[in-house]
Order: sequence, then structure tokens, then C-alpha cells
Amino acid sequence: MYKNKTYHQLVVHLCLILFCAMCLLPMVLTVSISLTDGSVIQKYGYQLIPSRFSLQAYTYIFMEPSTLLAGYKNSLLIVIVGTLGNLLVTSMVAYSLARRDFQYRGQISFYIFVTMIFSGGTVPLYILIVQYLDWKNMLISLIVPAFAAPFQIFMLRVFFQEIPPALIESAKLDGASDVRTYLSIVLPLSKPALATVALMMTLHYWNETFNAILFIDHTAQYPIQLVLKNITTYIEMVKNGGVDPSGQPVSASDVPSDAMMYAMMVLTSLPVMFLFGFLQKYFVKGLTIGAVKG
Amino acid sequence: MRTEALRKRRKPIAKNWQLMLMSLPAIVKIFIFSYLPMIGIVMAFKDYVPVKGIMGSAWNGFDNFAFFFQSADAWKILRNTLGLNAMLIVVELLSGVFFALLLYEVTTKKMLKVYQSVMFFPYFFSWVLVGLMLTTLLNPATGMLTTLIRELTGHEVAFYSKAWYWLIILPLVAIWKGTGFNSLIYYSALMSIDKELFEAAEIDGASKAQSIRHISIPFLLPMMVMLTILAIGHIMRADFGLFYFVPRNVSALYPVTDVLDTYVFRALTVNGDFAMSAAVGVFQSIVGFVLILGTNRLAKLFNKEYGLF
Repeated sequence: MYKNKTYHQLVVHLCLILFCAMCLLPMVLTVSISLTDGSVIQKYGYQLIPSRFSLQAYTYIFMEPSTLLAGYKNSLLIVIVGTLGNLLVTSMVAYSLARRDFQYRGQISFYIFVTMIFSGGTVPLYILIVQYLDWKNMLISLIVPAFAAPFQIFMLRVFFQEIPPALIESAKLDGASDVRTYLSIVLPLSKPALATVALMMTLHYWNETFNAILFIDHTAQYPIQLVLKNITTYIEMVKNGGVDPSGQPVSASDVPSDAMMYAMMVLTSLPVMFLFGFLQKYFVKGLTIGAVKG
Repeated sequence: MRTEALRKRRKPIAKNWQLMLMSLPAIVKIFIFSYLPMIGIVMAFKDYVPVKGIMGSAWNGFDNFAFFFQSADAWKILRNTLGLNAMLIVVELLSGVFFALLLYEVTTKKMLKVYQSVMFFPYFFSWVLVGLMLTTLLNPATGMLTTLIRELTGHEVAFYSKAWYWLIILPLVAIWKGTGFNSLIYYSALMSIDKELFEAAEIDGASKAQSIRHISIPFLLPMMVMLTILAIGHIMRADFGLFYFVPRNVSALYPVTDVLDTYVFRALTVNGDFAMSAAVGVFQSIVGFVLILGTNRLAKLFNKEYGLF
């Protein structure tokens, strides 16, 4: 019996370790290729551990960092304004819906739920934003459409319902208004839940590419994912064809190496990786609670 | 008497006005960005000319739908959308449950945390990045996997020009990116099982497989059904990033990777064909709506508690 159990545990851990290695491999590979000397890649292909280190790709990128920095700036703006605004709008409605004495909670819940199962589609939304709101090439077109996502409203509502109603009732007896109870009781008590939802929003805003392609044409307004997409497309075009996108031939000495492409990939995902390092603990915990309660 | 009754009816509004006010931003946002576009559905039945606007354009009945469904691509795109999404629903369900069960067997807290964190890693990457990282493995000349296959078998495998490879690659990428999240949902459900059930089963001589089959799986079933209903409701809407950025929009791969969402996206960005894209969008919405009502009905027939609404 005992022997059987150790064997069993061994299989479980082996499977998990194998899968975890697969999860890490692409990023490790990306980082190491970005640090590999260009000539080595040409000769031996990609290597897990570079036989000759080089920071050349990074120094090359930072010689002219304006595109990258503009991308960082735009994306940071989107993430900060978007996450704070979205968190406020979403948590306020979620709080109202969590209050059992709110007269219209049934109707409002239904109003939100309908949008979960039926939508007008991409094209009417596109026309609304571009023609009627005139938000083309404005970062707000990437921020506001993500506000008040039904899934996140309902998730926060579940969390808020966990707060003992007696707590809110007694505050109200002491003369606190609904806004007051929201600000000084509900929000402070829901920090883990708010952190989880905030992380989900941040992730969405940082990685969003679909709307960015639709709504942003000006390079100065490019969020980081579009910068990554365009620079890597450019590098590949140059690598494969020897001409830049406008058809101009590029001389061999200007040809950026593979390493540069991978350095770009590392640089654009760096903030996300930091975030992952610091917050994944809360994220996993928050989602676990949410899933059990929901 | 009447004023008394009136005041009584008005009272809740006066009492809840702050809550109403707090809900207002969300209500307005949802109205503008979800309900107004529903009116835009009429576009699908019009010969849309941007200068004339939606209301000013002439009606053309079902011409836009006919244009799409009679095109040579329609069948291929519908097949890809339904087939690949059905495949994704199944593999994501299986991998989620499988890894949740594996994680549940891990007894050391520290290892569990490490596994869960690492499995969550790919979830944080954008699809653009995932698509680029995949070229590291699959690039025709320098990719690690292509090089490995070349050295082992002498065959040259061209992943980016043979479409059918992506029938396998896309589900694998979906598993790779989504399992951290999917398994967590099922794992947290498993956490709420009374441990005594397993102990009792073990005393009665049940094997591991038996206790999984008779305790864990039945316990997870309602959640599996619920998430599957939701997924089936979205079967017409593919995950755009997975189908666009991961195969890198290579046209040689369209026979497998082109789905309704990428088709609409291209019609919109490359051809500027609004009316036909709108028609496809309406088709997606209506089929999705019918499917979600249908599967919900079916789930309820099966077991009353499985229904979503």
C-alpha cells in the first residue's frame, strides 16, 4: 500500500513538472535568444543557453528608444486611467447590486445579464466609436469600452455579499449614507477582491490588441502591443525580403538581428512579468475564493 | 389616504437614490456600448454607405447575408469556427479537470503554490507575444522544433505553410495558455469536498481511480456543465487572438485557421466591407443566443440544478 502511494505521488509530480517546464520554456528561450550574439544564431540556430552572450540587441534598441517609450507611455496611461476608472464604475454598481434592500437590483441585474448573452457585434460598435463618438486615434477608445464588464460586476457582487449586512445596517443607523458605507466599510473590507479584479483589468488593458488595431492609426498613439507587432513585422520583412515595408531596399549592415526581435519581446512583456511576480499570489487566492463562492 | 399610499410607493426611491446614482455610470456605459450597437443590427439589412449613415442607407433585405453565405469561403469558415471551437471546448474542459485532479493530489503546500504559479505564467502574455514565441519553435529555418525534426528524421516540416498542422497546434497553444486558469476553477471546487468522503472510500477499499470516478467527478459535474453551456453559447465567437496572432495571419493557413471573427476583422480592416461584416456579426449573435438558450434548456432537462438561468 505504502509503496503504491509513493509511486502514485511520483507520477503526479512528474506530470506537473513536465507541464510547468512547458509553461516556462518559451519565455526562458525568448530571454536567452535576446541575449545571444547574432553570429551564433546564424551559425547554430536558437540555443537554450547561449554560447556567446551579448547585450548588443538591447543597446541597439536603446539607441533610438522613442517608439518603445511612446508605447510604454500610452499603455501605462491606458492601464492606470482604465483600471482606476473601471474599478470605480464596476465596484459601485456591484455594491448596489449586493445590497438586498436595493429596490431595482433585479431589473439592473437582468439589464446587465442580457448583454452577456446577446450583442450587436463588432461592426456597429466600431461605427459607434469611430463615427458617432469620433474617438478614432484617441486612447479613450481603448479605455471606456472595457468598463463595467458583466463578468467582473457579478464577481465583485459575490464578494460584497460576503460582508455581513449587519455591519452596513448599523452604520446606516448611525447616520452613514450609502456612499459613506461603500467608501468606508465595503471598499476597505474587500481589498483582496478588488486587487484580483484590478489585476484582471490591468492585464486586459496591457495585452489588448484587437481594438488597438481597429481604432489607432497614428504611431504616436500606439499602445505597447502594437509597437511590438509592428516592429517585429518590420524586422521579419527585412530579414526575409531585404526590403522595408515601403519597398526600399535595406543594406545588410542595417539588418537587425533575430536577437533584436526577441529583445523587443522581452521588453514589452517585462512589466507584466513584474506584475506577475508581485501579485500572482493574490490573484490565485482571489480567484480561488471567487470560484468557490460563485 | 391616497397621498399616504403615494408616499409609501415613492419611499424606496428616496431611500435608494444614492445606490441608483452609484449604478448610473455602469448603466449608461452599458446602454451606449451594448444596447445602442444592438440598434446597429439594422445595418446588416442595408446597403451601407458611410456618407449616408446607418439610417440614410437603402434597405437591401437579406442581400448581405446571401453575399456571405454564397461566397466560396462561407462553408470553410463556418466549419473552422464550429469545429475548432468545439475541439477547444472539449480539450480545455479535459485539461482543466485533469490538472485540477493532479493538483488536488499534491500534498505539500509549497509545491502546490509553485505549480499553480508557474502554470499561470502563460496566462499573463498577450496573444501577439505568444504568436512570436511560437515562431521560436516552429520557424522554417531556425525553429527549435523544425531543427530537431530535421536532425532526427531528415524531413523538412513547414509548419507555416501546411494548414492541417494547426488543427493540433492551436488546441495545444490553448491548453498551454489557459490551463493555469481553467484548472484553478475546478481545483477550488475540489477544495470544498469533505475530505472524510475520500477517507471513507479508502477504508472501504476503493482505488484512487474509483474515488475520482465516484466522488471527485460527480462533484465537479455541475461546474463542468455550467462552464460548457457558457462556452457553447460563445461557440460562434472565436478567441480572436488565438486564431489571428498565433498563426500570424498567414494566408496559407486560412483553410484551417480562418474563423468568423478573423474574417469579419479582415473584411473590416482590409476591404472596409461594413454591411457584410455586420451581417456576419448578426448571424453570430443570433446563433449564439439560440445556442445558449438551447443548451441551458437541455441542461435543465438533464438535471434541474444544472441550468444557468
